[in-house]
Amino acid sequence: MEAITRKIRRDDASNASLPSTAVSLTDLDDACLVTASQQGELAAFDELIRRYHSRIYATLYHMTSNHEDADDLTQESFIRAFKALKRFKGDASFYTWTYRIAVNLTINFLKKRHRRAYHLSLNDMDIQVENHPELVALISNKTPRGEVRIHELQQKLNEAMLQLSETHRLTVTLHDIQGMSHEEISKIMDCNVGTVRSRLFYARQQLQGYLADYLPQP
Amino acid sequence: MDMKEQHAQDQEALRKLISLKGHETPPPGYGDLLASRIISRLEVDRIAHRDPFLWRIFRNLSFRPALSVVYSLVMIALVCFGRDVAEAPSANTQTFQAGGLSFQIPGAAWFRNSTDSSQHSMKLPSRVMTAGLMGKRSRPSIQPTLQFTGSGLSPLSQPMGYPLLQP
Repeated sequence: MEAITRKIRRDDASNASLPSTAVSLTDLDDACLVTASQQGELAAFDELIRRYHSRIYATLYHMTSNHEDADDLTQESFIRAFKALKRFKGDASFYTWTYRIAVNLTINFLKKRHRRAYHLSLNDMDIQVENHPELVALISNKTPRGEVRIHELQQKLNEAMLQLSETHRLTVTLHDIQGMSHEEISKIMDCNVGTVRSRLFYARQQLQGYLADYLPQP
Repeated sequence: MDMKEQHAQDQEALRKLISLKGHETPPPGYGDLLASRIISRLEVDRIAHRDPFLWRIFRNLSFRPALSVVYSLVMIALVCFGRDVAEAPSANTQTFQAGGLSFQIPGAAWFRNSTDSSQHSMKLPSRVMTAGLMGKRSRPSIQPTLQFTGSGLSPLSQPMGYPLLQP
C-alpha cells in the first residue's frame, strides 16, 4: 500500500505537465483509493469524490427537490465519509457505505425541514428530454391533461415526490430514477429485499393518485 | 385485459413518467466545482486542527461575534464579582502588632465581634489569634486557632513558639 501512496504522491507532485509513468489515480480501484485516503491522501479521496458525486448528488436532489440543499448535503456527506474513513472496514463497497451516510444525513435533514417552510429549487431538464419517448407520448394528447409543458410536468413530479414519506421517496428515487436493483437498495437502506418491494409498491400507488392526470388512460 | 395486467401496465407507465426526473441535471461544471470545494473544506479543516488550542479558540471567537460577546460579558461579570468580594471584608479587617510588625487580617473583626453562636458553630476569641514568621518567608503566615464556643482555650491548642497577638 505504501507503494501506491508513493505513486499517488509522485503523481500529484508531477502534475499534468510531465507525462506520468506511475499508476494514474483513475486506474486504481476503489479499495486502493480508500486505503490511500485512510492514510490522509486527499488526492485519492478527490478521485473517489469524482467517481461518485454525481450519483449521490442526483439522489439527494431527488430527495430534497432543492439544488442548494442537495449541494450542501453532498458536501457534508463526503466530508463525514472522509472523517469516518478510518472506521471503514470494507464490508460493503465504498460507494454503498458513502451512500448510506448520505441517505441517513438527508433523512435527518428532511425530518427537520418538515418544521419550516421551504421552496422547490429545480435544476433544468437536459436537452435530450425533448426526444424522450415517454415525454413524446405524453405530449401527443393521450393524457387527460392534453398538452403538457416540460416545466409544468417537472414541477408536478417533484411535488408528487415530496408527498411521499422519506423512506418511500428514497426507494422510488433509487429504483425508478437511479435504476438500482432491489438488492442494492436493501443494502443502502439496511433492510431486506421484501421491505424494499413493499415500499416501492406502496409509493407507486400513492404516486398514481397524485399523477393521474399525467398518466395514459385505459 | 385482466386486472393484474392492467395494474402492471399502470405501474410501468408511472415508472416511465418518474424516470423523466433523471433528466434534471445540475448546472454545467458543477461536478468539478463540487469536488474541489469538498477537498478545500477538508484541507481547511486539517489546517485548523493543526493550530494550537488557544489560537483555535481565538479564531472561533473572531468568526462568531455572538460567542465573543457572551465570553466578554462573563469576563466582566467575573471581574465585578471579584472586586465586590475583595472590597466586602475590608470593614472587618483588623490590624495586629507583633514584634514591631503590623498585620492586617481580613475578617478578624467579624470573628471577634460576633457573639451570636447560632450564626456559626465555631468562634474565635481574639486572644488566640496567633501569627508567626515561618523561617525565611517574607510574608508572615497567619494561623488562627479555632475553638468551639464556650469550650475555653486549652493550652495545647496554642501553637508552640508563636507570639500571642494583642489587638
